[in-house]
Amino acid sequence: MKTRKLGAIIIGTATLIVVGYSIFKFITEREFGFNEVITIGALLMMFFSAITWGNKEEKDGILPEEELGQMIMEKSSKVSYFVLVFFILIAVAADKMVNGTVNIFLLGILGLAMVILPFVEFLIAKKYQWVC
Amino acid sequence: MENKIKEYREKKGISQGGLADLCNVSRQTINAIENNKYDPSLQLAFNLAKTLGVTVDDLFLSEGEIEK
Repeated sequence: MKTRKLGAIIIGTATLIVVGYSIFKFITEREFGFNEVITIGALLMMFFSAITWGNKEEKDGILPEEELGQMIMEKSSKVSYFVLVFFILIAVAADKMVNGTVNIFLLGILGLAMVILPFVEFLIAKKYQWVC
Repeated sequence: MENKIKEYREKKGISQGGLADLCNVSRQTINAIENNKYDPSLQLAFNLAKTLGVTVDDLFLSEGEIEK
């Protein structure tokens, strides 16, 4: 079996076990915290990475270091940014509806998220601007 | 951008994987270029042309050329 498939199966199984255990813990102890979120997040990150990228030795997929891989990463970074901003907006709205107030840190993150892309674009564009 | 990579590759009797190895990319990249799903960088376009023994002009068709 190829390393990519084997890795995906192992990480996928580990993710299912952790998700199952977290659901069990939530039902029995009403507890779902930082550790569960970080562990599930890290495992899902590894799982998607394992099923997306190929291996240079086994030649079984697109490599992250080649130009198609770079283009995929650039495109997905931008899409991810907009999805994340949308989710932060939803979180601010949900906080307002549930608690009646807006979490100042969440609001700060939303403001920062909105300005960070045009600001980085400005900095990168400066590199290419021709000065007479 | 359309291209004639498949045509020249088959003329030379090279597989997608073989061409990919010669140009230091994955087979999936060659497949994506052949199916017009991805436009390669200038460097890769030159590498492909050199490997297939043609010029970049022969290999890639601009939109104006397709209309003709």
